[in-house]
Formats: sequence, structure tokens, C-alpha cells
Amino acid sequence: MSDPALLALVLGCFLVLLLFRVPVAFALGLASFAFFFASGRPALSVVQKIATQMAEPTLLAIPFFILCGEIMSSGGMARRLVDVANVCVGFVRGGLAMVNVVASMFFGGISGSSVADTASIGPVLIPTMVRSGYDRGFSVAVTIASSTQGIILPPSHNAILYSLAAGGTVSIQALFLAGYVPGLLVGAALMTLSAVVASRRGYPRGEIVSSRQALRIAASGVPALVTPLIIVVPLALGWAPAHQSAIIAVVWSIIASSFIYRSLGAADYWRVLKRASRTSGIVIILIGTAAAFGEALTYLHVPEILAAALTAISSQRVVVLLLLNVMILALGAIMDMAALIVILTPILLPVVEPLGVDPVQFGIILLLNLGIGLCTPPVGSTLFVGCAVGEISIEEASRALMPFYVAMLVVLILVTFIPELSLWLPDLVASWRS
Amino acid sequence: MPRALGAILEAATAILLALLAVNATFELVAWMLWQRSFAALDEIQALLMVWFGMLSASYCLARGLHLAVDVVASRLAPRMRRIVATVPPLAVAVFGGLLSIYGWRLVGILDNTLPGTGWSAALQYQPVAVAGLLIAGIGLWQLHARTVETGSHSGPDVA
Repeated sequence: MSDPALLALVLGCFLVLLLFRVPVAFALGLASFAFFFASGRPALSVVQKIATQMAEPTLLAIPFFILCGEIMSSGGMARRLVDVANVCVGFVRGGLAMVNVVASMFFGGISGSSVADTASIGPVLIPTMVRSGYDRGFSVAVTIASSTQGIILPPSHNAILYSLAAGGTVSIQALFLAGYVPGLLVGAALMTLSAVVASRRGYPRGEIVSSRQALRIAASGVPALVTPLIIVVPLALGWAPAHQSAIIAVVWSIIASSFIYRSLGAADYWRVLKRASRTSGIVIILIGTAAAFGEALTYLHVPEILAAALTAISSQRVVVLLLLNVMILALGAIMDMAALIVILTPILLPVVEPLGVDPVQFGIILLLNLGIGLCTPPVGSTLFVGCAVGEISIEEASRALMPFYVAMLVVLILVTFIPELSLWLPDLVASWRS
Repeated sequence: MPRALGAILEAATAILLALLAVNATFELVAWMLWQRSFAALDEIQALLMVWFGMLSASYCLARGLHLAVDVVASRLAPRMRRIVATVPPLAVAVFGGLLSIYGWRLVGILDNTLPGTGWSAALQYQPVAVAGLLIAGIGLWQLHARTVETGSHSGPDVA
């Protein structure tokens, strides 16, 4: 079979299976088998690739970060972080909206998951905001949009996914550090927007907390707030690889939840383990089958074909990056994040690298794009969770989210065209270490 | 899927995750104390990880948690939707069958041993073969029950 025919077979098989609602991981696996059968290559390679990819030590970081996030969020962390955020920004006009954004910033630095963020912060803050006179749609929208920070701010297990999908060639340490400035920019954009909306609609100011009370709240939030540091510092300083940083975080979260907060018992841990296994199970098989699929695409020179097609439209970096952003945003609206990361990375990375785009910066662009996709209909898991928690329809939430989409797109454009926003911190740490 | 199998898989994956955490903690402590890593611990970790990955994938399949795109299928007419609903379990069963067949073939071929534990290198592929069988079984059961348990909306918090 010729290469173009093989390519048509592999992509056709994958797309048809997807449209028929076959789970993405299995569609990738079947398309890989189709390639190996049709090309006469040994199909044993599919099994070998899946097992080898799963045995990769770096992959271990994903279930451990998920486990850490589950332990922390089950241990009543969300309420404490909301209280700390309230001390920091609650006193301004529209204070509760600001608290929502800041609490997501803190929580995202622990869970690394926007869905977990919305599911944990939403039930605490949305009813409070509505009771205080905030529009329900706005309350849900700010909760959903602010959870995007969790995807970019370290420790993001999606960043690890990206590194693995790139064949381990992109440093997780650099990706984690690169997420700080864009993540904080998203937070700043959302807070600015919230301040404008709050001032126009006359949303109330929050209460001012006395300094004694503020100290007490801050002290109780310390074990939660130091978690991101416990994860990122050993990694950034090169003391431990990603999976060891992750296990340190797990041990710390057990200490914090069991001995400091005393909020989790043995039965809770069993529940937490089951939940973390479920979430990990979805991701790990996806990484395995995507590795086999990626091998098929590499044999067929798909990245080169896509690069040629894009440069035929324009050879200008700006235009190609804009086209890619539009494409990823559109795909993010109909497909889930983890699946897109593992499918798109091996295809797009070889396209953007010759244009001078740093793989670390591209990782952040991809994550931010797909993070926005999680908040958009028709397929946005964060949007669905936010709507369920806030008890409003997807249409209502989507309408309320419109200004937030604009704010996030502005940040996306900045991150796309100003590489320093992503690369400044990793470069700084690298130069400091050398 | 019989509830008992679901409960067994759920418990097995939770235990495997706990074992992975214990093994990794052990490795970390060993590295801190003696500034060296142990090949045996690395090999056990890799083995546990493949078992964990494959069994948790089977469990998620049984629970209908895997990510799927339902933008098109959900817009079909009810009659068409019922016909289309047979495709995912059938495709899953075929994939599971292939994994199992080629997994066992790989196990049969490999005769070298791992340096740290001295165990057979084929052990790493056994989970794929076993889980392939489970996946095929679950797919066939779902086909029989004519249920489509996949769904991107069912709340996997992977993002």
C-alpha cells in the first residue's frame, strides 16, 4: 500500500471510529493496528509501544499529582483557600469575584485540574456570591473561567502529558516554570474584567477582616499554600525528577490532611485512592495508545505534510501561529484536553519548531488553548461541571462567559506572540543554576 | 458488566496505586539515604505501572468513563442512534482481542530476564494481554447489553 493510501486509511479509521463514539484511546489503538496490518509491519509493535510508554518513570508523576490533588481537595482545602483569598482581595468592590479568581489560583497550584477546581471552589463560592447579590450567570462564569489557571500553573499534569507526548524531549521543570507568568496573566485579566463588571453592576464590597483574624486564617492556609512550593522547588532546582517531586507532594498532602488538618481518616483514603485511580485510568491508556498512533504518523511523515500545507498558505510565523491557534481552539471545543494533547503534540511540534517557536512556549500555548476549549460548548468538561454546580443551563453560562472568553483570548495572543512571557522564568532559573 | 467484576477491578486499581506510592516512597528514601537507586525497585515500579494502567483502563471502560466525542452521535435520529450504539462496544471488543492476541504472542517470544529482579522480561507485557482479554469481554458484554457507556460528559476530572 502506498503512503498516501496508508495515511487515508489510518486517519479515516480514526475519525470514523471517533464519530461513532468509540472512546478516543481505543480509536487510537485500533487505527494503529490498522496501520501496522496494512503496512506489513509487525503488529506486536503496538503492544510493545503501549507497555513501554506506560512503564516510563515520568508517567508515574500523573497518578501521583492526581492523588495529591484528590487528598488535598478531600481534606477541606477549598474552604481554607477561599478564606485566605478573601483576606487578600475580598475587601474590594466585587470582592467575591476576586476571591474566586485568587482561590482558583491557589487551588490550581495544588490540584492542577480545572474540573477539580470548579467542582471544589464552585460549591463554596457560587451560592455565597448569589446570596450577596451577584448575578448567577456571572458567578458561574467567573468560577469556570478562573479554573483555567489550574491547567497552566504548576503542577499541571497536562504539562507532564505534553512532555510525554513530545517524546520526553521537553523538560517538565521548564514547562512548570513557564506556566507561572501566563497563569498569573490569566488571573490578572480575569480580575480586571471582574472589577469592571462589578463596578458597572454595583456588586458589593466584601467585609474587611481584622488583622488578628487574617493572621489566624493565613496560618491555617499555610500547609495548603506551601504544597506547590514542595512540588516545584525540588524540580526547579534539579534535586528530584517529576515523579519524585510528585511522591513528595503525596507524602506532604497525607501529612497535612491527617496530622495538621486532621480531616481525613482511613476510609477517606480508600475513597481518594479509588477516585485517583479512575482519573488516572482515563489518561494512562490514552498515553499508551497515542504513542502507538504517533509512531504510525511518524512513519507516514504527517508532521512534514502538515508543515508543508501550512507554509503553503503562509511562511510567516505570525500567520502560521494564528492558524494553529484557531485550529486548536476549534478542536478544543469538540474534543477533550488530554486526548488532544497526546494527538496534537507529536504532529504540531515538528511544525512549529522550524519556525523558531520554543517547544516550552508551544506547550503553554497548547495548554492555554485547550484550557479555553474546556470552558466552551459543545464539549467542555469544566463548563458542564460549572453549570451543574451553579444550576444554570449551558446556554446561560456560555452567554455569561463571553467577556471572559475575550479576556482569555487576549492572554492567549500575548502568550503566543511574546515568547518571553513563557520563557523568562525557565531561562532565569537555568542561568541561575549554571 | 457484573457488579462483582467492577468492584474487583476498582479495588485492584486502588491497591496498585497505593503500592506504586509505597514503592516510590521507598525509592525516594533509599535515594536520600544512600544516594543511589535500586534496579529492582525500578523494575517493580514499571511492572506495577503497566498493571495499574491496563487494569484501570478496563475499569474505566466498564464504568463508561473513557473520553469519547458524542457531538455527532448525539444528534442522530433515535433509530440511527440505536444502530450506531453497537459500534463502540464492537470496536472495543476487537481492540481488546487484538491486544490480548499480540500481548500473549509477545509474552511467548521474550525469554530474557530483568537485571534487578531476575524476573522474566515478558512479565511487563502480561498485563496488556490479560487486560486485553478483560477489555474484549467488557466490550462483548456491552454489545450484548446494547448499552453505550462511553461519554465525555460523565465527569472524568482529567483536565
